[in-house]
Amino acid sequence: MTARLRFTFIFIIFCFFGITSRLFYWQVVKAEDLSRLGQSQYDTFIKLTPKRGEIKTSDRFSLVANKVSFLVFANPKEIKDKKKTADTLSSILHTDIASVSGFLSLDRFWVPIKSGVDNATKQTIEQAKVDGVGFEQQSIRFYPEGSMSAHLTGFVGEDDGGFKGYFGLEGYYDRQLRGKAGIAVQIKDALGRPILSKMNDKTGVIDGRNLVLSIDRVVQFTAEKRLKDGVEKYQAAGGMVGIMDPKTGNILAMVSYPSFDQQEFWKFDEGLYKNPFISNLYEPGSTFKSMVMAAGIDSSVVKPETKCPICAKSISIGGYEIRTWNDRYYPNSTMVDVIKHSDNIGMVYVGSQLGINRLLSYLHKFGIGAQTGIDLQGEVAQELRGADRWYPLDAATLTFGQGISVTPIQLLDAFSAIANDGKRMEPHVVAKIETPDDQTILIPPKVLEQPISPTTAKVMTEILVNAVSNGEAKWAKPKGYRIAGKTGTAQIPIAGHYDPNKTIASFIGFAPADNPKFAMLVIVDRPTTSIYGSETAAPIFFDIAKDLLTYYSISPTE
Amino acid sequence: MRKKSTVFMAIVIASVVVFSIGQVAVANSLSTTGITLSKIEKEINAYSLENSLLKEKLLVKESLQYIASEAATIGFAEVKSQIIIGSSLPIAIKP
Repeated sequence: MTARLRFTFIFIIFCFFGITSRLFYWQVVKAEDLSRLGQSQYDTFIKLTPKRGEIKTSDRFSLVANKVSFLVFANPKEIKDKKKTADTLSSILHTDIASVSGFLSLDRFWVPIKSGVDNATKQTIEQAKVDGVGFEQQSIRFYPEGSMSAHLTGFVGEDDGGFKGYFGLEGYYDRQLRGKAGIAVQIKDALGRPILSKMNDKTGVIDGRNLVLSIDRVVQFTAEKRLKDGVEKYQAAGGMVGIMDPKTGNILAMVSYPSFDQQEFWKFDEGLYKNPFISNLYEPGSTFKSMVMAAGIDSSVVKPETKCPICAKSISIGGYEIRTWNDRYYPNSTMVDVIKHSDNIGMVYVGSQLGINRLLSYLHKFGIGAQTGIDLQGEVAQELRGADRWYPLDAATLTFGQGISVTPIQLLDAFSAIANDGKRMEPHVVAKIETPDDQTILIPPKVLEQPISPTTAKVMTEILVNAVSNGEAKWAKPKGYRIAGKTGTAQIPIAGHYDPNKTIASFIGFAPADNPKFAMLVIVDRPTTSIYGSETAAPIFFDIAKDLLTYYSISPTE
Repeated sequence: MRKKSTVFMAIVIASVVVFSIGQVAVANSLSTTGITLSKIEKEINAYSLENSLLKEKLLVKESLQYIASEAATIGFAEVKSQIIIGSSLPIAIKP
């Protein structure tokens, strides 16, 4: 072979090896990098936000639902006339023009302008044909009944990790309601259009679970209306109503006033967010007598016909004088009369017969001093101190509900045991949980304790029916019905003493007495037209009771 | 023998041509499915949005707050008094 041929041959071989090595470099050494680059060009990863679960009342109406809203964003690099765009957007969105201009002046491809924009506003912006503006669909919480049940539901707010439930049901059941985010992979062509072969490969997204409550929407609405009217009529600082089915522990309604709007919770004082029915401690006053008397009868230290030997006048304990609420005294009152007259001296007698150890034991069984376990975020309880830490005066005032702090839900739950053959149930708001795959998880009723026997419960019921029919609140009682109940007028402790002019007026009861459909506690905070429970809380109670007896089609029996 | 190999070659070449044309045709028709898919997705999203907006309106109309305010507007009033019918006397009284 000539030299030229040989040279050409070697040159071709050299080129061959050169190309082969280059191919080896790109196809083997750089294979992973190029594959990743290719994937980033034609794969789109979309984060899928799960739909938050709804909260429904017992009739399956969505008390808390999700509403479509939009995040308005802009691409400043596509906007030619930034001033005109800022003018248009700020006037449609009702936002400060300076902040919109600030966003548009940023050197970015994407800037958020405003979130939570409704569909009508979005359409207005679209009609304005503003360049460089887009919309991202979002979901926000929506309350069709307005701010009804705000304390019960709580609200959803944003923190570093995304949206989160606070207070009430949103807080307690946040993990159930939240669901789980996922990722969708979509392959697109060079022009950004999706390709059929591997579309919407949705991975991992699980929508939140729905909560179905035991709350009856009609009962809740009625309670809210009556409470609001009552607070205004009696010119009180506020009020609360809790209604429970004593046989199951189902909460039928829970209202507190004043309240707040969950949709715009940031505009209200933070102090309003917590549900006072489960988070506020107060001295219950005479409503507490029901449990103490029940303890006395159950332990047989007193009977309904037992006569009170010390009820003829006020008594002195530890240097302090204990009087009745109206300074009237009934010598030789029976225990039935003691409850009817709400006689503090009679209650001190019952307490003395029980002894502090036995009394505290009964109160523990009634759930006093511990949380009830209700499924709402924010429940508190004040522990009952040990028997050795009760001075004689404290033990005496305990018997008529002063010198002890309870939450309204504790009191309602304890009292409801009398309406349920002596069995105390765990209160709960959620009756069932529905999963996205159509499964239902039922929350069954739970018996917590049996503080008193069924016989004692029956006896106490009759005593409480007598108290309603012949006591100071008898004028407000609806005719024809046997209702068991007890008034309460508790003075408010301020700086070491009790304010004589400020009270927490309350009424607790259940109806119909023979087969209770509901137990209810009404609290009026610092009424000014009258300080007494019989003249403020009791009328509200009976107004609501009348409505409920009609609603439940319960015929009169008297 | 030579004729057979010529026929065989012709068949192979014809198959290659036919399948190539077929592949081009199928690939061509598939290439625009992305556009159709995009249109379908847009329609689904539009209907989904419309459903959500209608559901919101429905919930508001079904709410007790709305019903109570509408009832007051058209003249419904709260019943202030109730008539209670007591138990009736027995028809025959035992002497």
